[in-house]
Amino acid sequence: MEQVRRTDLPPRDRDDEPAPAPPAAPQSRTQLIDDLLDEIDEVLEDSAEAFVKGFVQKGGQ
Amino acid sequence: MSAVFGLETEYGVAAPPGAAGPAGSASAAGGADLARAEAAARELFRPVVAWGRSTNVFTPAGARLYLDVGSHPEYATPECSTIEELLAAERAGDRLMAVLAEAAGRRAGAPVALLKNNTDSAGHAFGCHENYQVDRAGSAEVAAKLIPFLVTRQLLVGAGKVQVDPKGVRYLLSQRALHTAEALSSATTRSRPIINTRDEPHGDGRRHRRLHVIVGDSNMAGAAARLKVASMVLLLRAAAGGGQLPDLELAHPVQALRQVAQSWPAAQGRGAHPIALADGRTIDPVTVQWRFFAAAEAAAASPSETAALDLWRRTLTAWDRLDFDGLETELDWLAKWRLIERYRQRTGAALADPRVLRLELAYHQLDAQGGLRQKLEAGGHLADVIGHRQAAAAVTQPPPTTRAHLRGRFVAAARAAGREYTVDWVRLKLGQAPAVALLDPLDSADPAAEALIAGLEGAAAAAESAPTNEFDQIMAEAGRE
Repeated sequence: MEQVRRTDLPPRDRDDEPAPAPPAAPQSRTQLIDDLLDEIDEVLEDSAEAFVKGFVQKGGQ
Repeated sequence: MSAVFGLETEYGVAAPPGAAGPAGSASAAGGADLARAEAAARELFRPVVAWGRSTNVFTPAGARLYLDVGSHPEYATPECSTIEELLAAERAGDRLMAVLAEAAGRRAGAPVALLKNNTDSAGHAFGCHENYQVDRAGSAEVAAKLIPFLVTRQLLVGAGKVQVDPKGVRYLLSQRALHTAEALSSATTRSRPIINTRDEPHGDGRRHRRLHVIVGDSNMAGAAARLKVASMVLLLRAAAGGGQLPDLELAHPVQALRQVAQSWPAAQGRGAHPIALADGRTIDPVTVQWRFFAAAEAAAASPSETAALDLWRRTLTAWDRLDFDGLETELDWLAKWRLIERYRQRTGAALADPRVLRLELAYHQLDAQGGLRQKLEAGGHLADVIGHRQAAAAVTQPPPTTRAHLRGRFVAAARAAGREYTVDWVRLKLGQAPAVALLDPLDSADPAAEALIAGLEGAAAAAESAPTNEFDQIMAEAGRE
């Protein structure tokens, strides 16, 4: 089957684009996630299965 | 060029065993869970019913609170005409529902969890519906042309989902992909389409109709919510301005939706997940998105729209290069995936481990007791694009640019004056007087409505201060920064 080619696509690496905000350093980001996971560890260990299985709704739209 | 749009979010409610609910009212365990959830939803709505004597009320922000089919608390934002207004209004709904859930938990003596996701453990789905006002002329063609965009946009704005079923365990990009059965249809609950074609213009039906998109996931990440709505607004604006939307009719839209949902992990490389076009060719889903991006790019007219375009471009570039680093603060499916991956690294848990599934729900949880978003945003793990001040204000203040400005002030003034009133999306009605109809959603200064409100405000100033009940206090709490 023929593939649709990407001939009419916009340039993606222009220098004049606004730069996104610099992300936090990977190390500190991991530390942050670890702190968060430590905080909710008890919730995850204690009642996870009951909570997950107990989360039953009627279907919405 | 202005258009009007809004979001309707159905929230999930979970109450742990032993919490509020009729004991022994159902035999099966799932039946008991459901009965508890329904009881919790009714409890959550109790102050709303006491305030408005209905499970369907409009707030002083012009928003609608509604206890929907299946007992899903639903919040419909007021009509908005800017992305900033909509993001604040959506966040205001989250705040209001969270405080309602916390108050319900206090009354019941056991916590009520509020979830902003789209699926439960039994495979039921609930929605986050988008409404866009479009010109009636040409609307069917525009809707059809948007299907390939809506099928593939989960690459960007899907909320992610750990899917456990007889086919195995995998991480899908979209919560609702497996729950969508048609491209265009007027059905909602039995056979869910991508675009619902039920014709409810809520305005002048000769000129406009409502484009009702129901395939979307609820977003936790502000940047993803912004991209979801702004991309649609830009495409509709481009089409209304005479621009051409890409002509990429899919052979099987629903099949493609499910295929694209399974694009992750993306280790196989570009072009590994082609979808079929109606003309017999195939196309890469990322290419579909680049085509729509090109159609939308010139239409951006505000900083929010430009920021959304920027995320759109960076995310597609990431799919091209298979390098997603840095996007985890903006995309829900990626933020949640990174959280889950870190947890699995630390514990060795399998993807289907109940603790992982619980963590997934915590990502979508909004009540202060169990929700992660506030902490993720405070720590910079999720970008905070809305601003707490705007979101807090939007709990009780309507957007100034649409008829919601009149509806919200009418509700507030009628209550302050102690008068009987009824409202819907179009009408304001005081007692037995003839209703004032607001057929143009962009008319925020209708003279008849302004006169009605001015009269009420005069009466309110002369009246003793109206009594405040629990829901007034809940709105005040949700509206605090």
